[in-house]
Amino acid sequence: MKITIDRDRCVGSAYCQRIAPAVFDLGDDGIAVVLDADATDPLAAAAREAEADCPSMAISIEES
Amino acid sequence: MTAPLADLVRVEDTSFYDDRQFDVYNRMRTEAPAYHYEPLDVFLLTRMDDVRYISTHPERFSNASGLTLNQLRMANAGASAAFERFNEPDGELVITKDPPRQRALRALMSGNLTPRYLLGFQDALDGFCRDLLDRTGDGAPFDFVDSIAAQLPLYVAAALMGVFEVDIPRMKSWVAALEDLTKVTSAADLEEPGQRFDELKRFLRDQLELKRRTPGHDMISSFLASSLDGSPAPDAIVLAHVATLMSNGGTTRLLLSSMAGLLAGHPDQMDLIRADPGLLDGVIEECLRLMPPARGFVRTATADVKLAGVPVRAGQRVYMLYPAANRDPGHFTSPDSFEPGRRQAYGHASFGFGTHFCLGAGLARMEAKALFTELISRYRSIRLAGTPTRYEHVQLNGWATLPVTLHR
Repeated sequence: MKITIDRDRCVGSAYCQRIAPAVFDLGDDGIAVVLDADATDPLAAAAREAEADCPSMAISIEES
Repeated sequence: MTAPLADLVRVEDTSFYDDRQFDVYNRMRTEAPAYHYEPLDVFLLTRMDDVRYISTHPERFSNASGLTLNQLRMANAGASAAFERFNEPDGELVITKDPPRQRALRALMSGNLTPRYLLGFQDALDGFCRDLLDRTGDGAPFDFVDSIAAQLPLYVAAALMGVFEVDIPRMKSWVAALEDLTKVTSAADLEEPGQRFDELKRFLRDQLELKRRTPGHDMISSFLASSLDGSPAPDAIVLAHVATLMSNGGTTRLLLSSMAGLLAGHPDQMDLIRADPGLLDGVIEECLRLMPPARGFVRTATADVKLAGVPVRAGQRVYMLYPAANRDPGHFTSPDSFEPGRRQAYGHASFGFGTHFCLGAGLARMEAKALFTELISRYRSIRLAGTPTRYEHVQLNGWATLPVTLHR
């Protein structure tokens, strides 16, 4: 899979970091960054939940 | 014989918001998911998908022409000008703007509310929680709202703003004034909270001068050092946003007291959290989902659009009902039951979605976590010591009083 963050959409809710802390973190500016762009299960499943819950729909995941 | 929806949907009446509201939402979601509420010419949205769609399409649904039902009621009464009088002439507010301007103002605010920035206040926050519980924890009944839930956000706001705790009683009256401004429906009722709001602005102007002379490690100083459009942020904008930060005191009070009420009703949760403090996060989210501190916000359609198959004309309003979206069975299984740690726990609407997502969400969660971590480390249970009273407010949701006792 390929995980990306749209920095213009991200509102710094930190949901992704809470849901999948091994995959996402927040930078100094409070905007999310991807730690593990090609996560595999079970991290991939958590990343998908973060994608669904992201309040600004800033996460996109391309399944390979 | 079931009553027609028009007889049941009384969203401007505070008595509508008791436990019976949820049956009405269930009917609205299936019978009329974009329900036209004629008295204010506003469409009420009860499905999560519609709330998400509206929130994440600010180009189609604007924040600039009213956010609360009472503002629409005031506009109907021709009293909008009276309302406007209390706003600073150049005090653009992030929540009343649309992108791209909204993004610039949001960046000004959010830089001072990042999790990393807030972490610097964690020790102070933990200290406030200990102090407040020291004062109430002798086993005697007390009002959780007045003694704890209302106090903590004010102490936190004072620490963040770098103002003295001696100002807290006045800050309390200003938070109440800000809440009243989202409640009044006539120009006459606006006068008294409006005067208190003016008082708040005078106080903040003085603080701005103080911080300009002697900057500290606080949010007002950071705002003053921030730039907007390449120059220092204008005072009117800083002032408007610091006032917004203080209004967080109101919604966080509602969250904290709703949490206490929920834990009083679910004593098993106290034991579970004590055994695994990590569970507290899920309890906070579930409380936010079941009892959203803000019941909803208005948007204005910028062009003709269809919502749930219903045509909405440009200029017409929509109102997103968060308590309804949060119990949409299409999104949450057994939506009325309290199930901390459920799947998609963060999928609730209570902080909004998209570009206007609540700037204070991280702060509110941090306060809830700190307070209940400390409380649960000291006490086995919270018990009701009387009948709680609901806060009488159309837009805001929670307890006005919550008499409790704490037990070791």
